[in-house]
Amino acid sequence: MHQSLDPNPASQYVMMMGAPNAGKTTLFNELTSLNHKTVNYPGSTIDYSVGKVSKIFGSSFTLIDAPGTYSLFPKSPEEKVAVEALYGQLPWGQAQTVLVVMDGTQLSRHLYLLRQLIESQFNIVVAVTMADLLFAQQCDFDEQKLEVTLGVPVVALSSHTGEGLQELVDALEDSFTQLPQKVLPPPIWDNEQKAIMLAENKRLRDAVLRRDDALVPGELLEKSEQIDRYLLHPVLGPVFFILIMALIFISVFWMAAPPMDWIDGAFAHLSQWIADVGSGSLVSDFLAHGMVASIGAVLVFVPQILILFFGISLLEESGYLARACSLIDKPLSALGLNGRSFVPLLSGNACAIPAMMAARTIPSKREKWITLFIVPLMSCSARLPVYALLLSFLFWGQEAWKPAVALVGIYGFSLVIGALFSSILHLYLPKDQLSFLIHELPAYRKPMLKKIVWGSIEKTWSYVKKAGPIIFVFAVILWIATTFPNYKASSDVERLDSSYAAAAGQWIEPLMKPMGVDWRVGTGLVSAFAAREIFVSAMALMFHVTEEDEDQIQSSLLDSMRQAKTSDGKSLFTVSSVIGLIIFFVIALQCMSTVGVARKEFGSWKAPILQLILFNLVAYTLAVVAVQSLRLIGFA
Amino acid sequence: MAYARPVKKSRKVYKHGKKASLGLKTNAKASKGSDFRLHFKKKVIVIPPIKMESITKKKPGFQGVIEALEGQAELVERLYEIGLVPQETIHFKMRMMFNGPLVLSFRQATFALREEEAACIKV
Repeated sequence: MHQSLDPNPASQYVMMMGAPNAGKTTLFNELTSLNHKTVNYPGSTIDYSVGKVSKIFGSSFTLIDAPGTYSLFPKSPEEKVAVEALYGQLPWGQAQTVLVVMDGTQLSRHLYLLRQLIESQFNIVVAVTMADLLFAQQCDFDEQKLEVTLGVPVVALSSHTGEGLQELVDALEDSFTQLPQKVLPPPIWDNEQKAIMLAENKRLRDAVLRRDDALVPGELLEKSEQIDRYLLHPVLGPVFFILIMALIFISVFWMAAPPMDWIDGAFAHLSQWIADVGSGSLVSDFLAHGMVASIGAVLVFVPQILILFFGISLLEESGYLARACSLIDKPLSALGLNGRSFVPLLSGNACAIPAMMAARTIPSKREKWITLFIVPLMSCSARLPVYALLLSFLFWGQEAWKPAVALVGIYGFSLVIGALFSSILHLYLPKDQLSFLIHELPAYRKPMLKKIVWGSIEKTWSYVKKAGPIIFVFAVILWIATTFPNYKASSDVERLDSSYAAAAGQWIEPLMKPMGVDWRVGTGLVSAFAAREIFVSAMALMFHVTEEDEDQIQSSLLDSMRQAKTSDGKSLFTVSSVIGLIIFFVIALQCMSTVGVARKEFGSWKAPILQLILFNLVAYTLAVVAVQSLRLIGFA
Repeated sequence: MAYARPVKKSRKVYKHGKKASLGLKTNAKASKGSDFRLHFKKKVIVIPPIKMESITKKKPGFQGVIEALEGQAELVERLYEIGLVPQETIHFKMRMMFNGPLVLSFRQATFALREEEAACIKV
């Protein structure tokens, strides 16, 4: 079905351009009735939406929704894509018609881009959104005046009732009959020309609207101002900020827990069933423990990521996210980051992959680079099972609040490490690029639930598509490493003990000694490179835990960990060695899917390989230092 | 026919720096930024120059007209593009925590600008 959405090079398609917050995406959704797909712009990481206009309008051309831009002189990667696409850099050539979307309440500001487009001789149809808001403010909107002055068709649209959509589609259909003109490069205006044009824009706006929008404070704006008095307050603002973010964070973990358990349980059963049916053959073992387990490993995080995206979209649609980013800009810019780095860093606490994808909106290359670099240091949820195991070992039989406080401490520690890396990069990276915030704070409004749900599903699907193949490949590699060469072994434990993974663990044992652990933990660390949470199941296998029930595995694994001895007869898991492992897991970059996505987002292998080496080296060194110093001061 | 009042002839325009018949003399040709001096019947009236100030020097709640945009070319261009342009009336709403971004509103739009970005705006 998706194939049919691709515009045929011979047929017409319409490119939508407009300033951010002009109502472009809302209009796109209305015109296509949400029947669209997101496409990756060739040679970059930026997505744009392609959709066919809905049948109810009696037409069938294709629409492309480019990222929002204020002008034809791009200042961020997203704007660059919008302008490049406009100038026919897409695989299907130049758009027949450019649909310019302007917010009626922001007319004089949004005329700037329209003037540039007219000057460049694009075939233009103008859609003026929020016309109903203009009427609510007792403004007469004179479409014809605007049409005559600019020489392009203009359609006024109501954002709530859908009035004007049919006229817009008809106007677009008419525009296809126009003979295509040769498009000129963006016009370069000097300050004098700009001043004349801006004065003209104001005059035109005054002529088109009966009342001056500068004098009539809209109802929405007034309400927004009242809300902002609290939410952006120098003292209360940060308090609300922390509360809202904590709420999102808690709901990501709390609401996602049951569906994650279902997915986990379902895949465990499926895997068991396949293994039983295949009765121990190599193929069934591969299907059960290689295939099904790896698909489960990808899907188990889907609920968390879906809720995270839902929360972020909710904040974005309501208008708060822009404010949150501006609010946190000052502290983040001291670390060489941007207010817009906030969403990637927040998402990084669930999963680094969507977090890296969220870094695209950062306009400065340098700030985007630093953000991408430190995202893997955020405490992603794949680390949680590992922390849970290690903390329950450390605080065995003690009050429940102790491991909880320790977990908060681990999160704090990962933030500190991230801030440290960021400020070191900020100090040493050349500061050749202009960094800017300039963030529009849209009026607060009631979010459209349908749009948010749809958008979150789409983004989650893009996570599955991105992370899935990489996790799958590594899960298969891990399956081979843990199954062969002794795949005919009678038990799982025996097979693992004599596998390539165990051999690798033994091979790196000299490295593990300073961390206070032996080759068995080394094997666990090696297998964690497929996905961090695999560490727990690998430990269960290494320490010969064979219980079926999950709770029993946990408690008997803890028992075996307590009894485990090193070759010289001392306890293997002690306070110092477990703390060393926690430190290792906080910093180490073990997730190969993250490395794969990082390559795409950075645009080269250099940075991800640097991340991989640096973070693992620092993790190892700090773990060794921690273990040895703890032992020096008398901890076992 | 209605009685028409005699139309007053428009006043002569006196060039600055020349002694005009009114006895006014100014130093308007003096260097920019210095006081404007008006000589009138041996008295000197000193009018201090109108100083353009960055909006960052103003306090939240300030409302005024943008006189000029000065600063890095790229930043100024972006300010033009978003509609923060000379002669625009601008309202300095508030400052965010830790001396953070300024919240400026104009023409029903609200923007958050960093200190160095807002410094380009002279009012």
